[in-house]
Amino acid sequence: MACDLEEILSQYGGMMDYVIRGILPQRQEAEECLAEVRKKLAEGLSSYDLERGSLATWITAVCRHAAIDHRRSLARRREAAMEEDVADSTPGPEEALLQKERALRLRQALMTLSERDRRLFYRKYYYLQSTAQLAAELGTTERAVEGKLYRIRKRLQRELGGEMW
Amino acid sequence: MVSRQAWDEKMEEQLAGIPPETVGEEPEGFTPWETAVSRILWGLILVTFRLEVLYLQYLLPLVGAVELYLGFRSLRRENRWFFSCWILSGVSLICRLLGTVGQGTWAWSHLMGIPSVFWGLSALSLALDFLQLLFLRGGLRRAFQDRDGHPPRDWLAYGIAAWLGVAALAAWGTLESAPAGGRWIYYGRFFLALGLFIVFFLLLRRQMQALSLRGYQVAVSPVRLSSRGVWAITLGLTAALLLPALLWGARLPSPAGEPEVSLSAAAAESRENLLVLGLPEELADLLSEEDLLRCAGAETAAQTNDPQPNHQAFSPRAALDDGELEGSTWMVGLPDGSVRFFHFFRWLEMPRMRLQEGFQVEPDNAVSLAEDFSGQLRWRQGEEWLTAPLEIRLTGGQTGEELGEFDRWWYESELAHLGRLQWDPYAVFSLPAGGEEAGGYIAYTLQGSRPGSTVNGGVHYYHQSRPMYPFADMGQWLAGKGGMADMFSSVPYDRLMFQNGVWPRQPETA
Repeated sequence: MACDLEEILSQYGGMMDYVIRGILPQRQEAEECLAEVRKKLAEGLSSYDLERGSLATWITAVCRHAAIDHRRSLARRREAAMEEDVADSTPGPEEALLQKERALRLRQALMTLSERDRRLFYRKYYYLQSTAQLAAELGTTERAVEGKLYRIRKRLQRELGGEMW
Repeated sequence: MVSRQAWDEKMEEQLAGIPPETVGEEPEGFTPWETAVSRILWGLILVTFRLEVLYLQYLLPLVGAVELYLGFRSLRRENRWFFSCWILSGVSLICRLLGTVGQGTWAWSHLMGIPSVFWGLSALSLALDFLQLLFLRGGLRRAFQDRDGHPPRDWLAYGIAAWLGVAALAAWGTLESAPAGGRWIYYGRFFLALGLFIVFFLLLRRQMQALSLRGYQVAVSPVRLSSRGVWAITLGLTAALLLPALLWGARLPSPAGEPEVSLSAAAAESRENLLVLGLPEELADLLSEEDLLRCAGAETAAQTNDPQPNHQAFSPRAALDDGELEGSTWMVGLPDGSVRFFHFFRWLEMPRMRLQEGFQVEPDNAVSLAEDFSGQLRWRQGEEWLTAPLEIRLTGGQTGEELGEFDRWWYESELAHLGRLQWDPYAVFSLPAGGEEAGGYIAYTLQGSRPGSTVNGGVHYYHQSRPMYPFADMGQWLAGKGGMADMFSSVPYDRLMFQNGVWPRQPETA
C-alpha cells in the first residue's frame, strides 16, 4: 500500500513528536530520532499492510522503538565502554517460550485493570512518559501519580501470582 | 526480591511485546490534553443540564463547576483564552459553592425573592457560562491548529448557538411559567429545550472528535494540588458551611426582644379586669400594653371550647418535637358590643429545633370582616422577660372580581355577607435562641353578631422540626404561594381549632 509520506507526516506528525518527546525529552535528540523515523516510514510505507493494524498503531510503534533504540545508544555512548555479552542476549528456544507465556499472562493481567489504570500504565511503561509529564497531563501531582502506579503494580503482582521474576 | 528499577525495566521490556492496541487502547487516545478537555466538556454538560430529582439540581452544577475548574487549570498556560477560562471557572466555582450553601438559608431565599437580585444573579451566572464557552472556543481554535495553521472544524460555534437557545427558553419559562398559548406552548417549549440540549451535547462530542490527532504541542501546566485535593476542599467547605447554614441560617430574622416594662395604670386596671372575668393569669401576662388598653372596660371573657376530660378533640395540648404546646382561644366582650378574639399559644416544654414557626388563624366568616389585628411573642431569657411584636400578615380578603367562577359560587354566602372573603391573619417567626417559656397570640376584632350565637373558626400552628434543604419559606407557604408543606410538622387541626364560642350577651345594667 502506497501512502503519501508528506500526507502521513502532516496528519500524524504531532503524534509522532509527542511519542518521541516522552522518551527523549531533549529537543535535539528528539529531532534526530524524528529524522530516523521519517526514513523508516519512507522505507516501510510502501509495503505496509493495513490489515496488520491501523496506520496510527504502526507509526507509534515505529516511533517508540526508534526512540528507545536512540536512548540506548546515547546511554552506551555516555557510559564507559561496557560491552554487553551480545552472544547471550538472544534467548534460547526455552527462554523464548517462557517469555511468550509471561507475555500472555501479563496481557491477561492487564485486562483486569480498569481502562483508566491500563492507559496510565501504558503511558508509563510503553510510552515511557515521565511522572512529571503524566502528572501535568492528568491534572494531578507527581505524588498522586506515583501512588496510583504503585497500586497498579501491586495489583499486577497479585494477578501474576507474586513476584514476576 | 526484585528491585523497583529492575521491575520497571522488565515491565518496559515485556510491554514492548504487548502493543496498546492488543489490549483495546488506541494510540490516538494518548494525548496531552485528553483529560483536561474531557473534564471541561463534562463540566459544561453538568452546569447546563438541570435534573430535578434527588437533589441533583443542586449537586450536579457544583460537580460541573469543579470539573471545569480542574480542566481549565491544566490548560491555563497554553494560551490567554484558556487562562481567562481558568479565572472564570474559579469565580464560577466560588459562586456555585456559595449558592449551594446559601440555598439552605433564609437570607438567600429572601434575596432571590427580590426580582432585581434574582435576575441580576441569573444573568451573571449565564454570562459566566457563556463567556467560558466563548473563550473555550477561542482556546481550542488556537491550540489545536494543524501544521498549516488551520483550526479544527468549528462544531462548538453551533453548540454555543444551541446553548443560547436553551438559555433563552429557560428564561422564557421563568418569566412566563403559564404561557398564553396554553398547553401546546408549555410542553412544546420543554421539548424544544430538551432537543436543543441534546444537540448541544452531540456538538460538544463532535468537537472533541474533531480534535483527534491535533494538539500534541499543547502545554499542560503542572499543579501543586491534586484533583482529589480540590475535590476534598470543595466538598469539605460545602459541608462545613452547609451545617451552620441549615441550623442557624434557616432561622428567621426577628426583632430583638425588649425587656418588659411596667404597665401603665390604665393597662394594669384592664388586666385586673380580665383576670376577674376569668382570663388565666398566664395568658394575661402575654398581652401587650396596647391590647390591654383595647380591652379597657371589657364586660365578658370566655374560652371558646373549654377542655373537657373526655373530649379529646378539644385537648388544648399537643406534643411537637420533644416539646409541648398549649393553645386556647378567648373571646373578650367589649363595651361597644364588639368582641376581641385572642388566639394564644404557649410552649410548656420548649421544642428541640428552633427554626421556623407559623401561627395562622381562620376567623369566623359569618360575623364580620376581622379587623384591628395584633400579636406579640413573650419569652424568658435568663431571669428577664422579653417581648417582641409579631408581624401579622394577611391572606384571603379577595373580592368577587378577584376570584374565579368556581370560587365565587363556593364562597357565595361569605361574599354576600362580608363583601369579600374573610381575612386570615398569620405570623411566621423563630423562637428566640436560649429563650424559655415562650408564648404569644394573634388578636383581632369582630362585631355585629347576635348575642348567644355560635362562632367557629380554625387555628393552625406549624413548627419546623428538622433542617431542610433548600430553604422553604413558611411565610410563602402560608400565603398560598407554594412550598414544601410536608417539611413542617403541625398540631393536628382539631387540637387547636375553636368551636362553639358563644357571642357574649351584654351584661344587664343595674
